[in-house]
Amino acid sequence: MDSAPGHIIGWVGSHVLPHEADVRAWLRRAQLGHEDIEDIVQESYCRMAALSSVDHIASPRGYFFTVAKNIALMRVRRARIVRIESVDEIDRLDVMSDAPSPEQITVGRSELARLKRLIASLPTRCRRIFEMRKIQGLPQKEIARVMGVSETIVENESAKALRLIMRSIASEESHFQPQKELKRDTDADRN
Amino acid sequence: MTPTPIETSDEIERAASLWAVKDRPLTPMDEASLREWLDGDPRRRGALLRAQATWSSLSRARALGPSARWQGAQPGIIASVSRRNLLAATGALGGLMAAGLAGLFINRYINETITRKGEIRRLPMSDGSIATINTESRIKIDMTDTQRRVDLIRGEAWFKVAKNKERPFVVAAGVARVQAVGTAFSVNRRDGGAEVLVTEGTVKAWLDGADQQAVLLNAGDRTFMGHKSAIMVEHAPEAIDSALAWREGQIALNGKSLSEAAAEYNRYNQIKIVIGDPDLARERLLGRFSTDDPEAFSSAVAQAFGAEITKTDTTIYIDTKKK
Repeated sequence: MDSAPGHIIGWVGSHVLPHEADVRAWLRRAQLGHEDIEDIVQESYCRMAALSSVDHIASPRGYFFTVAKNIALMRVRRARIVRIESVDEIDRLDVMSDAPSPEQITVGRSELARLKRLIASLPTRCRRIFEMRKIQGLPQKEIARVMGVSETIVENESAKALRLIMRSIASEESHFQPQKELKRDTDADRN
Repeated sequence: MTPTPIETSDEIERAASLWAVKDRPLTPMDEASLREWLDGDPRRRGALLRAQATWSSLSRARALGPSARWQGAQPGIIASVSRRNLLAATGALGGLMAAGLAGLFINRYINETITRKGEIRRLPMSDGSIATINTESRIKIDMTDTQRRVDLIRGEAWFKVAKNKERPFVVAAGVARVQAVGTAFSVNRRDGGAEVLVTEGTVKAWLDGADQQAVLLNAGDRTFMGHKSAIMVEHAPEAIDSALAWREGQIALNGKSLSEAAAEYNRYNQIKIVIGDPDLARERLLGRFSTDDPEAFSSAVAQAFGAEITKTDTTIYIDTKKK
């Protein structure tokens, strides 16, 4: 029993997660509340969990934005009082999900440096356990023995490390620049 | 938006991260309770996928090696603090100099300013006060050594008043009079009187010729002063904040109906928004929009309510789609 088949988990980890900060930044720009954003992101992953294959998805980034857009629009429309600027902002999606900027491509290179920072900022016990599991690849039982703690503690500390890392991924500064102003300028030049 | 969830996304994330880090394969007992957990709420599968995907992608940390090897020295914090102190000191010095200069040059200053439709102008005055003037307004400023007087001949303006007890700052709008010492407030001249909104400090308001009946308004208070009615004060800080969104070039639609929103746009733009269907006109809206972009607003409305837009040179018609 798992959330999704192994290859879907792998695909989400390497192709979808890196765009989560951008999707969140875009939802924030649409003036959606914190809880709404959490729910929309979670529901997006739910849809991905239901996929049996990802072969048809050429751009995971575009796919993530589109799924989030549909969920967000549905929620906004269902509201009793319509937050109209959200609809407008959500509607500008096509611009926002454009191909990654050159900055974004270089982001991949600094990935490991960022990961270093994330790990270094974990609380001490949490970091030691995380390192044993993820860097040294020790099994849980072995870590419990080395640290002299119960396996439950190892599990709890690992989960805490994971949560802290997920949270910093979510709150990361978004690397993309909305390009609508630029586009407007070029239109004006042409006229 | 949706009914209040029993479980917040935060709680789901907690449980999901515990399931994600468990050594695989799971024991049959864990297998059963995970299945039960997943079946309990459809959102949980998404949370688990996200946690598992993050956890599995963290395996690339292996490339880093143990942290003992790469954890280096912390950046110099002391240097940056002292630099900040230095900046603060320069700022205070600048403030002192500005205050000194303001005291030296007091002259009579007269100015008349008119804004066109859609124009919002920020006008610094000789005493250090600032007037922000809304669309289609006209104000006359007359400053002497003993008083600062502003006539709001038409429209609306917000005033950020520099403190000066010797020179009262008085705004006249028809019969309405509003006086401030050091404070911020707006006056909107309308048919039959003027509306006063106070954003900071305290102002005194009265009707011309009836200064014994003056009332005091504090930050967050608003009132409408007409020829006949008594002055009623209401405390509504949030409503004031929205009503003054024009200072940032915005329209705040805090629950306004679509027809009210359209009327608000039409204050600022030559292109008029017209709503066809009366039911559509009654729909309530939230949010802030740029005053100078009626097109973005209209297309968002069309998108939200499934309405149809027809444009001419002078008008944007919004109507329900004909089936």
